Amino acid sequence: MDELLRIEHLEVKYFTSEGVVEAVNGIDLTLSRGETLGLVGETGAGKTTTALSVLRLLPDPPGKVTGGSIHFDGKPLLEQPEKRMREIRGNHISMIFQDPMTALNPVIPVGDQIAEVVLLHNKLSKSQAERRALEMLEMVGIPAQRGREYPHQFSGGMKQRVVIAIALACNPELLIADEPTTALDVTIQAQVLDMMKRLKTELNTAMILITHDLGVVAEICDRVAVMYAGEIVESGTLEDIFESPAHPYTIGLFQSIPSLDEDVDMLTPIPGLMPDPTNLPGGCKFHPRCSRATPRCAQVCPPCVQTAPGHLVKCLLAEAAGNGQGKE
Amino acid sequence: MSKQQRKRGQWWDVWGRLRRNKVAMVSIALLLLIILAAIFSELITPYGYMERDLTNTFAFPSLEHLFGTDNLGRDIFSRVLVGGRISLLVAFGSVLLSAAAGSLLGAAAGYYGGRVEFGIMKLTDIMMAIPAFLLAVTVSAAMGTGLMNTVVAVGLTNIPRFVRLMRAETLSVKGNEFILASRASGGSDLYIILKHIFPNALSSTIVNVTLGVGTAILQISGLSFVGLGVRPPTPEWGSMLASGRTYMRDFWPMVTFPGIAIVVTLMLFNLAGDGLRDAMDPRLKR
Amino acid sequence: MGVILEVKNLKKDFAIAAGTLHAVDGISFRLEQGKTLGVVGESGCGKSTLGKLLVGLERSTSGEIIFQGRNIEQAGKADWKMLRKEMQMVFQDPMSSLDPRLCAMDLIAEPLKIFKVCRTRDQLEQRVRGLMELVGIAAHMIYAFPHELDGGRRQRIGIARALALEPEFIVCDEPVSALDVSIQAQVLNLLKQIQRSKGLSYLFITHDLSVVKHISDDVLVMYMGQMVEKAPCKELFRTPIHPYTRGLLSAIPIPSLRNRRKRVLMEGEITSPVNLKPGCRFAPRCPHAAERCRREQPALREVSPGHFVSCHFAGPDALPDSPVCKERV
Repeated sequence: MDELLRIEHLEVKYFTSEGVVEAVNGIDLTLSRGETLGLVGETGAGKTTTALSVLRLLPDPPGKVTGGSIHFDGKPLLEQPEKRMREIRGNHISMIFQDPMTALNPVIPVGDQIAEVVLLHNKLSKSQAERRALEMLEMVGIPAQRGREYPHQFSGGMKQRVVIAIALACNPELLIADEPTTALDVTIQAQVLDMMKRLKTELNTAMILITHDLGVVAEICDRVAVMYAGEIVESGTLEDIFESPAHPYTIGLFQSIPSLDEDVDMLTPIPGLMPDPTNLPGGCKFHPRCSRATPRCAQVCPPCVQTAPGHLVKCLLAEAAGNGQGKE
Repeated sequence: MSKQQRKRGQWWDVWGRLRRNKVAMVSIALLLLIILAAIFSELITPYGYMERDLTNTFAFPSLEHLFGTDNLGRDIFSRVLVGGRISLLVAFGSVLLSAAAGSLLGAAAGYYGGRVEFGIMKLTDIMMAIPAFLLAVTVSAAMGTGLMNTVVAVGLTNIPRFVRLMRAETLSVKGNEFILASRASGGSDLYIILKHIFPNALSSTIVNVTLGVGTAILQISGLSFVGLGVRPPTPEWGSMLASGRTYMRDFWPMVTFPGIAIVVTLMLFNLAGDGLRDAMDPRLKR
Repeated sequence: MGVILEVKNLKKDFAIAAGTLHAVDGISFRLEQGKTLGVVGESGCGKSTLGKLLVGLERSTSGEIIFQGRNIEQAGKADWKMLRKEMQMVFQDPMSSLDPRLCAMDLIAEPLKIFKVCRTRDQLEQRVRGLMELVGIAAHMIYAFPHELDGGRRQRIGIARALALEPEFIVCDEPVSALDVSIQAQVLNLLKQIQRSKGLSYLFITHDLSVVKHISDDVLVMYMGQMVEKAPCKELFRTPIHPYTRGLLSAIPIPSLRNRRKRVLMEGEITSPVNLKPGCRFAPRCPHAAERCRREQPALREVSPGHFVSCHFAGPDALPDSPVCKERV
């Protein structure tokens, strides 16, 4: 397939007075054109940090990319001059954030906010840009005449639609969506997810969807990568992850969610807490919480094992299962 | 979470954070030095601040008289030290007065809202509409000069800033769920104000107090300068400036040294206040 | 078992600039000792206000709240202080519901101090340590401040505080929504265990239907201040009747590739219950709305034992498409 984004051995650290936070520890990711990847994990797993490093928007200081490379459309992003990056942001890669309430400027009409982005990256006249802005509004399901209204006149779901319209206004090849529906009510979330699903096929935009909600992933993604303590512990197609999860953490995540279809008396949570990112455990980062950990897990950092074509698992147990060929 | 036994509690933490802030520590040390010097001035200089030596007037700084002598032959160094005693005393007194009165009014306005708030805030607005110094001059002219009256005059003019600060703090703290949680646990209004609202507003109040002391020193000096605050021969930085003004062209030490004293003290209070604010917020850990 | 709490036609109006906001509008239910009533709805449906009314953090406009046989609406200030011992609340955001300047010990001890339960400092510390053990916080964290703890532990402190006075009834207002899934499961299990060992009754407010299904015995669905459906938990999820409940159920993203549900997309968004017009409040978004729905407000009726629905099409005029929930793609 046509490869759009390739992240190799990416390492990001935050240098704070409390110590060095190892936020991202050598992750590998690839994304093809038009594909949607779900980046799943809990708070502090390094999902947002990964996304921000792709856009080179890490708060620096304290954040620093300490190793690895990111190629977008064949170009090494980490080596681009800042001026070139500004052309890429919003035009080729755009990002939407979790909270629609603070993502819009309250004193500018929403139509103008969309037009602004269009003008920034395209040589268009003002009226052309405005026409494009209204088109975008219609596309995300907002009547064009509301373009003259201000953000406070919109509800949360509507605001998130506007934010998406801004992100897609320049037809980017890649959209990074950081928890786009978390702040919304379920019925509104369903509407927004439906719209995103429609748009990504219409516009053939590749998407990285960052979320903690496996339900949202199942709705919209083609592939899934599960992050834990700055590493991708398991990745594969939607079927791989949902039908035959192999990493104990992925399995634990599924068991933690109360099911709507089955009745269970007590849930089976993952014991313990996320490790302190300034002081990560040696060996497999998950072993202190893993019910199937062996003494070897504390010593050896597990390699990525391919259990099925495209299904990668970072666990010694998967390696021992024998059906995998080592891939490194 | 590393330290396990933390019986010493919050103030120990504040001290720990403050200690790491070099600028604040140096400022606080220098301030303490100034305060101590002001208190024990008699032990430091061999001259009394009222001691005249008409044979040695307008002496420039020398080893004998560090800051020189004034028009009546008094040692300027001793007078600056003793003047600091008055300035600081009046400043602290007036700020404590305005902080106490202002915080209570502000907390009441913020917590109860409605008519209580309306009344208090309108009064505050009226006071703020009058330039602070003009107000101080008026009050002090009405009550007459003297140490106590100066404290009251300067204290009154500074009340509004504390009212506004405490009201704003109360409103923001009140919005937190822990106020609701405390009510759900059975806490009364007074309990909540004293136990939750005041401690959470304390850090900004302390900062405001340190900044307020600076302003108050300036106001007292100003009052004395125009002849309303502390009257000569009692030395005070402002009144010293005023009397030195006449000779400014030919003899600089009389205005320069009290002037430097005011500026340096003011700056140190501001720096110390900033440091304290950072140290007192446990959320600003980095 | 006895009824611990009974609510009759409870209403709460707020006067706002645009008119009157009917935050809670005629809610009635009974809660039995040792049971959990789940309250679900979207933001702004009045579920949090309902919780606050029950523990007396807001005063109702009309209606009755009968707790342990006493009408608490008529309770005086002194009575309320005693009632507080019996009813407690766990809040949504453990960061803002804990005073950042107090350590775990002081936070958990606060209710004990207010009611002067312990005579000596040692006794108090013992009680706090006992509570910490009960909710599963390691003893060495007794002097830790909220900002030094993770979300799960903070919420455990919130729960320990609520349990300190050994209440009979706890309102849990979205206690797990701010937590990560793996921690959420730990806290849900903890709440269930405590309920069993102490015989507590919960009113569990949440927007998360899978959580409510896991923890509740009965579920009450709220929309714009009103109760649209109430049923025993299993029944509600098996045979939801009200179109809003059905829409809500079908909107949840299911973390599974099997058992996909057919989406019933609801048009539009929830609005505030301000200056209401007659008719069913859900009618503007309802796919089945008829002329009658816009004219006349449906009454609450019992369609099967314990299953109440407020819809013109419930019962005899049942809606054509039967349970949406069961439809598979």
